[in-house]
Amino acid sequence: MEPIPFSEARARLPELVHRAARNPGEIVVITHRDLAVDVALVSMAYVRGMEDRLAELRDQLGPPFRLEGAFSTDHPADDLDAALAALFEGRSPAVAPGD
Amino acid sequence: MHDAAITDLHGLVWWGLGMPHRFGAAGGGYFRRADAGRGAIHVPSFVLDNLATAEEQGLICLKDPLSEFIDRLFSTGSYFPAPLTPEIIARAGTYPPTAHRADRLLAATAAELQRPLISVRREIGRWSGVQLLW
Repeated sequence: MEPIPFSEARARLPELVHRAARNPGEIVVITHRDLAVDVALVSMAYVRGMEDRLAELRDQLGPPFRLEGAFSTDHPADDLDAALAALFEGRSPAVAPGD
Repeated sequence: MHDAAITDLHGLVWWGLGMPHRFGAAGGGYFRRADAGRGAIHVPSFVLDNLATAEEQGLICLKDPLSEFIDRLFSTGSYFPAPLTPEIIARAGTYPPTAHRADRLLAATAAELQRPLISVRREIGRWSGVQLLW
């Protein structure tokens, strides 16, 4: 299906919603001149199916990456807290490397 | 729809260090759900740059090389980069000039993405109108 301009999609919204709902694989692409990306109207059944498939693929790939525990530090938490604040504000860190 | 939030540097680092006790109930919950594939965290590009600097300065150590860490983080489907856009810069300019520049960019990122902000910097909540979590 060809992408539909936003103004046209607004006028045809009831039809497009029913179309997406009746056809789980149907992707209605809507464009807007003020947006850098297009958006898609799809059924939640389609989204849930994609999420389930993604979960299956992730399981096949092994343990997923988790942010928790991806770093370590030798610095006391309070010192690190202050150093991060200094870094964020563009000041010199309060904790010197190797402290 | 998954719930999503923006993180500041402290949030990213404390969660990455495996220190959930540093968070309040709300902020840690967002990271927990993201790691479980049931939520989303947006990482502003300047926060990611701060993280890289923190590693260069020896404040933290990443278990993977930086480029590999970034690839893996943003391949999860739960963590997303939030680029510094002209719209964010323009919005930051509407906040009080007395506020720290980095705080204004952080708040503007959350406002543009219409998501809450996980941040220790409570003063942001006083002038930005952004929902602040920790």
